[in-house]
Amino acid sequence: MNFELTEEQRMLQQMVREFADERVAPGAEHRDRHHEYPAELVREMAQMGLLGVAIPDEYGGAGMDAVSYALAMEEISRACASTGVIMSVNNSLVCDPIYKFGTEAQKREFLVPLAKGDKLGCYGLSEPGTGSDAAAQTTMAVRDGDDWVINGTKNFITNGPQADVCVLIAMWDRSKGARGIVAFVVDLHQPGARVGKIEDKLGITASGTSSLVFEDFRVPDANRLGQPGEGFKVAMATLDGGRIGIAAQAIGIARAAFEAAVKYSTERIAFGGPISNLQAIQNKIADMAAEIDAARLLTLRAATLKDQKVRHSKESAMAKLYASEMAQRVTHQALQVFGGYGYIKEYPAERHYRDQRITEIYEGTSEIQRLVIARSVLTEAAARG
Amino acid sequence: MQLTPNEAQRRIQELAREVARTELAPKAAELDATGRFPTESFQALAKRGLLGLSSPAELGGLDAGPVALALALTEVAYACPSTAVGMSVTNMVGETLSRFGPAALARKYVPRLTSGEAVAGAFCLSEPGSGSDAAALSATARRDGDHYVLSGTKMWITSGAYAGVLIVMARTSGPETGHRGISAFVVEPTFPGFAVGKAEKKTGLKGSNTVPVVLEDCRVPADNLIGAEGMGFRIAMTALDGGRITIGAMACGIARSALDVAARYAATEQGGALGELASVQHRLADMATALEAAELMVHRAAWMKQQAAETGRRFTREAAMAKLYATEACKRVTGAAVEVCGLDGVTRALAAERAMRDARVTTIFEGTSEIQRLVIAREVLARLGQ
Repeated sequence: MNFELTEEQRMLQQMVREFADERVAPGAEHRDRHHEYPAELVREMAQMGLLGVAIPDEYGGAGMDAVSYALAMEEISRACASTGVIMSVNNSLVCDPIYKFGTEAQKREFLVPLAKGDKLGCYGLSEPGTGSDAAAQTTMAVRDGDDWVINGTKNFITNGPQADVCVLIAMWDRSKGARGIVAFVVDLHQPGARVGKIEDKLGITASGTSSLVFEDFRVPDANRLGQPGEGFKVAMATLDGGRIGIAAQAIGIARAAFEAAVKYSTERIAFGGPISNLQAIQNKIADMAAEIDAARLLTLRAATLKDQKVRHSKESAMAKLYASEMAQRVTHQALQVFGGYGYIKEYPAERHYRDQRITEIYEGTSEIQRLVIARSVLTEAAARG
Repeated sequence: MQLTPNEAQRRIQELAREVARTELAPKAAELDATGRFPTESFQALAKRGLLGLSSPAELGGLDAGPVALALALTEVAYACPSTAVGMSVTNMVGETLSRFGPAALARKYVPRLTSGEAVAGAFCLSEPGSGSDAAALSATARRDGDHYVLSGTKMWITSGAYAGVLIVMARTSGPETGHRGISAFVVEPTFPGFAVGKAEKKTGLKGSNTVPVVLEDCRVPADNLIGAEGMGFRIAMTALDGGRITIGAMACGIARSALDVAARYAATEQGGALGELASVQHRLADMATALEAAELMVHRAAWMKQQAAETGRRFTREAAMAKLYATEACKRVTGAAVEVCGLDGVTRALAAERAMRDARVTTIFEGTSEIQRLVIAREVLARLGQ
């Protein structure tokens, strides 16, 4: 057993932490309040290789691994959760499936600019009526000669208002259910695709979330990811990786809330001394610290399995489930440590509290993670007899 | 990062699993029902070297390191938690003597522990009036020629009536000296003035023997002083840093056994229909997630302890986190296992209720959850606070 990071991983972590402290954190509160997309920061992150962390150099990425990606995601999200999710979607939900399932031509055309950050990606799976039941796709892809014609609406699309490229999931044969699903990588600047309603959200307000509307949108068959019928597999495998990113995002948010609360507890005087002297506060600090570490270990374990190219659906689901719900408890308790000051916008606790909430919902709700985990536990139990 | 055991660690894990499943598991229900102390189980562990996992080879140990010890304890606790707790303490006693010496003292007693000649080791720190506040202990050790004379009562001593080698903490100077006045001794049950009281009737771990140890002018050779006078508190805290990892490892084994009972029940009951219910699935998912997080926390702390031999880096925070997290998870997981199995869960036909009872003390002994939280908070505030 070895829990040590490699020299390269530690250096990346340090570099991203410094960048996040100096560049990302200072404007986070302003961007949150004004719902301002961090375009300049995304450009800077692109230059650092953070938009394609685990993509090999030859395809425009930083050539690192999933562990490095998780470490970087945590640091960016600790400074600004909105910036974290923009990074996460481009890495996990766009670059990753194109790298894994794409043809060489697709990698040249789409992956290279995405991993370099010259273009920004988004992931089109959810629909107004299709969330957890992802196989119930209603966006239709109809074959027409060498093209596909796509009609439908995708909902809650992170980076939707800003993205150039979309990994798009659609139904081509409804009678086949999940096996009738097909995936594409598409250029959103082509006619027939437009940004729909832009959402006004509880948290991560500096990231863009919108619907994407496709009306007789023509996509060449060369843009298909995997075989027709493999679309659901592409979508689920993509989420296995995405969940590691969101787990790391949740850990980053929790750490920000925790560190602010610890610092505040040493400054706030009550009952004749700093409240950090009170057992009531110390107990919170201890539980928060232990839970953050547990979440990070689950997340890094899932990332090491991904790096070893071992199936990690259960482990990613555990990381995402635990980290997101941990972040709920930690941001709640951190706000509690701040008392009334936690509830007002001059202090960061309420932003962390709001930013955390979505981590339990997107890329598979906690309820879906539990189904994924339970299925694996029950299968193992049945096999043992 | 490599979060799975290496080849040598896996061999120890398999060795422990083999003896646990063939020799310990079949007796676990009987020990729970009768409260019998399984001397033969300790012999079985000693035969495989599992009582000397953290003692050096020249003293009869396997010197396998803290990670292997944790893995082995999880396997033994999966089969029989009552035996696991005695194994944990025996390893701790051997390791403490090997580490703090003096060498002659270690040479005299450690082989008795590793070979099984001593049956088990015991660690006598708690007293009727001194639990979490260990530095407030009041047992005394008065120098008398080439002996110390020990007086006082020690409580909750695991394996106390069967152990051939006991480490006893007592004051060599007055209460005003606090933790600096505490020293550690090796006591044998044959020493004059040594007696054990009535075995406690407990909620769980019924096959483990828990007694008061009464020392009435007990004469202990001066050579049996561990380390030096005044080092006792440090010795005890060092032992407990390791002990917290091993109790965490034990909690993982108990939790795993309960999860397996519940998962098997859900997968087979009513032709598997029980396991189809989302309410049951959600319980199982939370149990499995908590357990696997706990295992990672324990393994990390064990790995840090292993590294500490070279790096000198402290692992107090990680050990406290491992114990807190794993034992609290164990409590929840075993409770949930009973609930998944419904009324069958509260009968003795399934091992779920036994696991729940065996789990209960893990959040209390070797430092309560409250003490672990204080330790963690202190470490966090020292590092992050201003």
